[in-house]
Amino acid sequence: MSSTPAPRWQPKDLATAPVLPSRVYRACVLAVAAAISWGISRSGCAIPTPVLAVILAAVAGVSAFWSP
Amino acid sequence: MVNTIIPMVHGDGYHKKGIGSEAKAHLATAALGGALVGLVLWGVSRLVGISGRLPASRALWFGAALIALLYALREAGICTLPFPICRRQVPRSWSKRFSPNMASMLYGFCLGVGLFTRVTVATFYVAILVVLTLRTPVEAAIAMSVFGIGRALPLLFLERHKPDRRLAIVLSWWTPFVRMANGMILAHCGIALLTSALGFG
Repeated sequence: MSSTPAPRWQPKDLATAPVLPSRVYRACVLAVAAAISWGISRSGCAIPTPVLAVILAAVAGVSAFWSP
Repeated sequence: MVNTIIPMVHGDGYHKKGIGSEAKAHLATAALGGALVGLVLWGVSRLVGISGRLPASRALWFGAALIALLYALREAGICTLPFPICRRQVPRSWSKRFSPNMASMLYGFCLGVGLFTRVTVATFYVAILVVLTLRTPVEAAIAMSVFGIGRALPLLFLERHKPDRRLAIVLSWWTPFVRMANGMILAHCGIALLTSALGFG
């Protein structure tokens, strides 16, 4: 059975690591997410609790993969 | 986790097409473990009188909303907050002690259960609080099985990558972005829970 060898890791690869924006920008993103949720709830299209549970569980599940 | 479980669920065929039986078993048992926890949580909730009772559910939604909004700041890296983490991890020795299929299933089940393994995002604990307020066992089982599936799914996408130091580094690059996404979801769901708790929704 033939197989392609895995690419070797090089220290220079670390230089391409993506960087998060500043704290202020991140706080603004959270505020926008909260405002959208507030708007949805006030417009009478509130997300049902079981759907919220599924959303939270899905995000937690995928994120748990990154738990060391 | 990456270096132990990826070789287990994909065997030596990193470059073969399709998902192997070990990977399928891992995914199925992860969903099963999650569903089992959902049923246990629903049973506990029913026993203490939360499930199906609006005043108790509203109190729990309010608590979950406060935790979600507070820990959204932590996940986004804006502030630091204390966070209880279970230090236990699935034992690496299972990969040697059991057959690949059995070990994949055991790893899948334990990771799908989630409660006694290391989960570093607050979203998981907020999800548990919300599951406690669900009315039916089916809803609770589905919600928590989605956690198990979500936890096993990235492994299936990594089937073509041999686990090495480079893969671990590339995955670690994305950790801040994963945390930020958790922060956004927590902020969104926190407000949704708050409006439900206060009766605005």
